[in-house]
Amino acid sequence: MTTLINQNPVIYEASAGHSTREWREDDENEDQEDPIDAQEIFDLIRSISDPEHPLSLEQLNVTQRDHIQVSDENNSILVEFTPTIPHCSMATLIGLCIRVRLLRCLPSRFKVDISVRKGTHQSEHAVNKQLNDKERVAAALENSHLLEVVNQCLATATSGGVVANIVKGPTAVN
Amino acid sequence: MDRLISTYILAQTDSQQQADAAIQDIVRDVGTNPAKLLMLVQGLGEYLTSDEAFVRSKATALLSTTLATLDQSKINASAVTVLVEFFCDRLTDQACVPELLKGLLALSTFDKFTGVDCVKAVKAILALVNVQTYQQTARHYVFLFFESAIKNYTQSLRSMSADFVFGFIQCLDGEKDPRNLMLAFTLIKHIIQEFDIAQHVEDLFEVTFCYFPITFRPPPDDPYGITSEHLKIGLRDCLSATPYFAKFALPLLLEKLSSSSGSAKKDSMETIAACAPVYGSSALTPYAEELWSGLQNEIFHATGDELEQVALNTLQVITTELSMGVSMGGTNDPVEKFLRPIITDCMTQLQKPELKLAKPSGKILKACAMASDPACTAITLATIPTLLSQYTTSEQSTRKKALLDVLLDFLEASRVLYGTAGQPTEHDSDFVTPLLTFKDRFFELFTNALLSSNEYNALRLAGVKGLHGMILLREFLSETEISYAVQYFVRIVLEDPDSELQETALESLASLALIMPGVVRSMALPAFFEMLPTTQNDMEVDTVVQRKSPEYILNAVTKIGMEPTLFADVVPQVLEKIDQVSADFNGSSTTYPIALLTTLLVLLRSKAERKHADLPQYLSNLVPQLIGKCIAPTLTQDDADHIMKNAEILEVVAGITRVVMVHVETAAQNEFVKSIFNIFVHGDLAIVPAYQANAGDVAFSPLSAIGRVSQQNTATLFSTVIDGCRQQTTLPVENLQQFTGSLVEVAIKTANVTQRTALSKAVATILNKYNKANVLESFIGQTLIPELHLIIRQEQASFEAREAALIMYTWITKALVLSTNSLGYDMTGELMNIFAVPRLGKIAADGFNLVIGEQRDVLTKETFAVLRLLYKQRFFNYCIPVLVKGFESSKDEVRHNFLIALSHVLRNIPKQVLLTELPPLLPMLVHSLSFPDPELKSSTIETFQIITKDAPGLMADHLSTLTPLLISLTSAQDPANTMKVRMAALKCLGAQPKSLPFTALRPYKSQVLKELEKSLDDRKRLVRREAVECRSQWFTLNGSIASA
Repeated sequence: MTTLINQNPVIYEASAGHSTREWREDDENEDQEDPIDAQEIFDLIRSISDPEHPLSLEQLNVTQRDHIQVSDENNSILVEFTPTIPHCSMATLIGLCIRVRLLRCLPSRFKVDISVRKGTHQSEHAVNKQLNDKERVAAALENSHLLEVVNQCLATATSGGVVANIVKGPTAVN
Repeated sequence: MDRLISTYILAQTDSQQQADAAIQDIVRDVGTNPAKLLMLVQGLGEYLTSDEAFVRSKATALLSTTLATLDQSKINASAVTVLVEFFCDRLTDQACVPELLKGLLALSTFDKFTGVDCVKAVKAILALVNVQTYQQTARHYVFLFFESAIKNYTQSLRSMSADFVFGFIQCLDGEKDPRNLMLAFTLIKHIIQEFDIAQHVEDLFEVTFCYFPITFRPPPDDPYGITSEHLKIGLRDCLSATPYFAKFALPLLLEKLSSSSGSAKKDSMETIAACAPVYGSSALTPYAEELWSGLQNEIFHATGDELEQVALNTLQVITTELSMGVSMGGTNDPVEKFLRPIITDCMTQLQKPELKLAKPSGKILKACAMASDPACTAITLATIPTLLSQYTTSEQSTRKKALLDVLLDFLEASRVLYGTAGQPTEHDSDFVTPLLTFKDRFFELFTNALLSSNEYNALRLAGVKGLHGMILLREFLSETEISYAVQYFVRIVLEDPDSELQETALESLASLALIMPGVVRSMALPAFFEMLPTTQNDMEVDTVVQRKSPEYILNAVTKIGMEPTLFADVVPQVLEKIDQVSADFNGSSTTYPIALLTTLLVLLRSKAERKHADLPQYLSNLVPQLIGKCIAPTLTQDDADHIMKNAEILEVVAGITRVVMVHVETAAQNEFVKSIFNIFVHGDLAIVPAYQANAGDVAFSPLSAIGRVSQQNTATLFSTVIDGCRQQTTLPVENLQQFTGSLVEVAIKTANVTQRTALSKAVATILNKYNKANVLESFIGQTLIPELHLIIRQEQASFEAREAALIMYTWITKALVLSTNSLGYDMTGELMNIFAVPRLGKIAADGFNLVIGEQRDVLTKETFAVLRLLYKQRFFNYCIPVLVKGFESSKDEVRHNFLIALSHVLRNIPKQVLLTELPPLLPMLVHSLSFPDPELKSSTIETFQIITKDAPGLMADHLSTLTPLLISLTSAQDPANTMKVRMAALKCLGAQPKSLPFTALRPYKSQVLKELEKSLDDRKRLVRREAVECRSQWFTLNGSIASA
């Protein structure tokens, strides 16, 4: 068995596939526009698998909703993530997964910045630079092995973000 | 005879038929007259001694086949002995061996076959036949012969025990065919059980274990149906058949445990688990340490849940077995010795309980504790004090929560081992969990966790689970403690803002309600009903104080109120609330009373699902009372606003009536139906329960076209009662035709839609159920249908009347289609003719949904409707050609109606039928995507999605037309593409990469990914979510990304 960089990480409670977003009647109202918000971005990335453990980024507290800033009208998004340990060599890969996921899932009008949360990684600056350099990201994705790893991490990404049902009292369908 | 023999022997391979015929004739001849067997042998003489091996073998085959088929009872003992001898002697002739074995096998089943014969044959086979040099069928005969011999002549074979075992080992050595192995594995097991294998243990083990681990993978079209799982289990049975194997097997199994293949590991662990009880504790003890180190790897670094579970299970079995070992006293007790490193390792991990390895440690301790009383005691005493003190010194709530999770594992282990409260147990009453010593500490701990004002809900959740787990332990908590716990749960359900906590507490109450209804009845139910409003004022106060909504509380009641004594308590309380509410509320605020009655409905349905015996009794009190409550307010002079007049309330009461009624026997139904008819048909108010006539009350005439609307609405209840009737139940009317006719008449005359629908349903039910032996046939065909036709086609009649007639017509069509009455198909055809009639056409087309769609309420199997087998298929077969033809010959406006009808039919047809009949319909379906009707579009897209999943080939053929169409349907620009359409189109596109081959989709990949980028910016979030899902499916197609 290969040694893992972080053998025994702390596990946090995840909301088990359910979006914490409450269902609203407007969700089904055709004319009501739903702006893209932090919760929606969080739902897109929370269930990405960690490259090392069969756990999601949410369970490892790598991503948190409060660390995402979205401005729909200014077309800008900032996602900050927290590596599990400051010397985590997977940080770039995790960042790349988030980057690819958002590339695939968001309209191209958005400018997405992805960075390590301040003070949580030794080589924070280098990682950030790599993640926000378009050409280096594109080059990384030319590498078919790397791409496969990324796709594997993203395979679980769609499992999240189901709308939680609200309690409406006893219902009986006739 | 001789002629037949020569025909057979001389037949060339190309005249196989002739040979077969000959052999059949011989077999038939000898079969009826065994005396001819001699003739056969004599006739075969020259061939059996022929110089040509081929001829000898063929002659033998004839003899063997004859023996295998003839009536053996007529063959005498000496003949059998002679034949056996003959066959055995000839085993030296290699060319004939396979046929000879077949013959011996046949002989071994004869009544006159003796132990002596058997031993003779076995000896001959072992001495003369080198089994593994023959082909599979011959080897198979050997094993079959052994099987038959072991089964019937064990005693005789024991005389040559050692030789037989040794010989068998040689026969098996090198066998590879799965069919033979399956047989051999069962033989090995029998041999181990029946014979003295002492001298050959190692040989037998080696010849068996060499197959471990099984790597066999059956060919894709394997006709024999042998899976690797069959072989694994067969082999495992052999290995676990005798403790003699222990010293050989354990080291090898441990070795395989460290293999890299997941399936080999799993097989090893499962085999160890199967062997442990047989090998016994003394055999396991020397390997205890190795077993632990092997298994812990599988748990701490588990690659999957399944392997982890298998490892835990194996650990448990080993612990159980070691517990039964003879104690050498004190520290050398095998189980304690085994557990010591386990406890040390797990406790090391548990020092940091919030980390990843803590959870598996808890699982390990749980598995071991579940194994036996001594193990549980040892683990409990060694770990719980430490865990408790760790808890006291921890500050972090995450850490506390993780520790509680471990304690929960212990509670669960105790429950499994020592029994669940309220369930019978075979244990003595002094067989109690060691946790009892820590009961007070546990109770305090979990209670504190539950009551902590900490915002970390997971900790409080663990508290709820802990108390629940303690209640479930047999003979653990006292009644007072249980009632405390229940009170905490009730408080959480009623007061706590966190939904997860509420749910868990409610689930706990629900499970307690089944095993200790008393405490739930005395503590939970009163508290719940207390919180329910009784006046309109209560409802308004509700928004100010943070009180739970009545809907929420009633939802909780539906979870716990199912148990008969609890339900008996719920019913009067709900009825009382209904009375209070209808006295105080104005008639328009119905949400709450609807929720109250729905609670009863939901509970009754759950009871029906679980077949509760107390259900039928509610037909004599609850149902009449509710119906009375609905009728009374329609009789008052002023006909004032009243809650019980509300249409939705009536629906719920109807639902309650139906669910109770269908679970009542015919006799009781007859009585009930009679009283209902008295009230509704004859207006007899004296028997309405709880009704006191007031001066000025009007008469009750719900089945009249000109009566009070409020009374007419109650026709819903009347038609429900007819719907709930069993087929044997009689409707108390003198003339059923006349009665039905009058209902039809009212339905068409009335202006009240509720009444009309109710009466249409009633008529449909009567025509479906009571047309036994076609007694109503002429009435339907000659009176009813022509009359309705006339009205529908009467252009000068009012539209309302024509619509009413059409609706009645559709319902009757449904009733007859369900019973596959030919009139039903005629009527379906007529419905299609109406498609072209302005305004009515669309209604007729939508009527197809009614005709073939399953209704949730009326005319169902549950309500005893006559549903003929395959009625849907028959309807489909009738309809589709007519629909297609109609579509082709119609004008565009009318075509739309055909497409609607088609979509209704397709949606309701069983999938298998749909898929076989689809290809000719595809052009029509594609056509309907271009109509600007959102309903039609989304329904058609759903059909395409089914095709994608279940008939990918068909879909692949039409991609060039469909893909651009589907893409265009995802565009929000076109207002006809509603949210529903856009989402359906995205779903359909997203289903393609999972089902269709890459080669078919590749040409569209970049187009789909590019075009769907627009949907990522759809204004609706739900659509965006589908777009994301769809695109990620397409991205991973072949694993490359095109546009990233």
